[in-house]
Amino acid sequence: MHGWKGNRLRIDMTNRTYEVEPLSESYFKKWIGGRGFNSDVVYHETRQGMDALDPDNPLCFGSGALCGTFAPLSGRTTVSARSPMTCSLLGSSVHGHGDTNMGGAFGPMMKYAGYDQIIVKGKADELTWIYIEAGKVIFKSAHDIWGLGAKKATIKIQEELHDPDVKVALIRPAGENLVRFACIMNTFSASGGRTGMGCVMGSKNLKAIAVRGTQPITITNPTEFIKAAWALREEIHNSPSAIRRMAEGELWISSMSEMQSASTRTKMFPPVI
Amino acid sequence: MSVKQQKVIVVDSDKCAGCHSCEMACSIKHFGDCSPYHSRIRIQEFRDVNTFIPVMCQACKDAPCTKVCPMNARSRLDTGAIVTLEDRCIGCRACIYACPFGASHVNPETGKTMTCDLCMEDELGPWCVKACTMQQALQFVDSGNAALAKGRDWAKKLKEEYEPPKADETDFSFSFSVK
Repeated sequence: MHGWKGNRLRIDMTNRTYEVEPLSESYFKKWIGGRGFNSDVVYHETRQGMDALDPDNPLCFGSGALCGTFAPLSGRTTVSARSPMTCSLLGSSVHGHGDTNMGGAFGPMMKYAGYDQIIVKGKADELTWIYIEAGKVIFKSAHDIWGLGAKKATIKIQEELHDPDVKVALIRPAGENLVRFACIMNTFSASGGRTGMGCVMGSKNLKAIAVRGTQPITITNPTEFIKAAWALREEIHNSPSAIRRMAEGELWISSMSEMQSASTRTKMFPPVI
Repeated sequence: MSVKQQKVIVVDSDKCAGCHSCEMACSIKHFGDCSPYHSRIRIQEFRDVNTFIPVMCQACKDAPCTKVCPMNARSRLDTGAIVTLEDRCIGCRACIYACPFGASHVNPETGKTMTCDLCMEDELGPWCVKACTMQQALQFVDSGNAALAKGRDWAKKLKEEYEPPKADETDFSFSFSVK
């Protein structure tokens, strides 16, 4: 199988066990990307009326077929679970599906470690962080890093493993204290902030997931692939929207500021002609 | 005496944004798959201070790797690149220990070392340079012009310092000072 690694890692925090589940190619072709796998798992493995902080709530980290390859805009990770922020479509008070999308290098490193998806279930009886490497999952005590922010905790984990290349997805004090809109951070600054996935991670007493892997991602036709990726890149870099975003930032702040519709009224950016 | 012009890849680490595209392109070129561990250029990340430094073989004029290799497997091509001859290399990793940059890497498939060969047989030029379209931190230039871009950048900075930009018509009275 090319692109996908073909494995799903299930971690049970309650019993401190893990299991690698190989998946068929047809499954991947059906769901394609991280959001697809995650939605499938969250749909089938949650019960009706389940609370988001229930230990059985599956916290899924998924990434797609192109994640970790040369394809532009591919290195994203989706985190899904039943969300403490949303309600179901019928307007009842039951918690509904939530997913958030984050950048950073966690997703690609997850693919290099050999997994397309990591599912965390259960609740640890003490504060824990997880290290995933070369087919092994190691559970470690998180008493030292509990309460630290993204930068300090990541550096501490990297120092403990003697490996600056390890990628860490973690929660900060908000997630530890079950703030319902807490976010998950990775590689210092990339954040998955929507639908309160940090709260779900905190409810499992899980401070951080550190991943390290060295497996390559294979491609069916490398030369054609890189030529298509180059052409796509050129198209993106030359599109008027991208040029404007590069100059003005993602939110087009200066034009919004001109229209006085920005929430801040800084005139920090000079107008672009 | 004529100076032989050879092409070199010049790295400007100030411009590197750490996107790892060059690693992916190198890996696809030489191995046909995507993995940073199959790449001959590696980006050393210092994400806590947002600094990224691409490290690759500089093809030094007086290269230590060519001297320490017990099998004389590190040899210079006509193009200026220094490569490991796979039939001679015994995988002792002496070139890794001797390299002042840490730019020599072990090929995970053969156990022998690998460094940048400048993709010379390819008419596109080095793929890492082609991949670095966004930031242009990598440039493929004649060895005589290696310092040209850097000198120009520095001179531009100097010029701006001595000659402040003229007042614009736009009203920036509320603006913060942006340097």
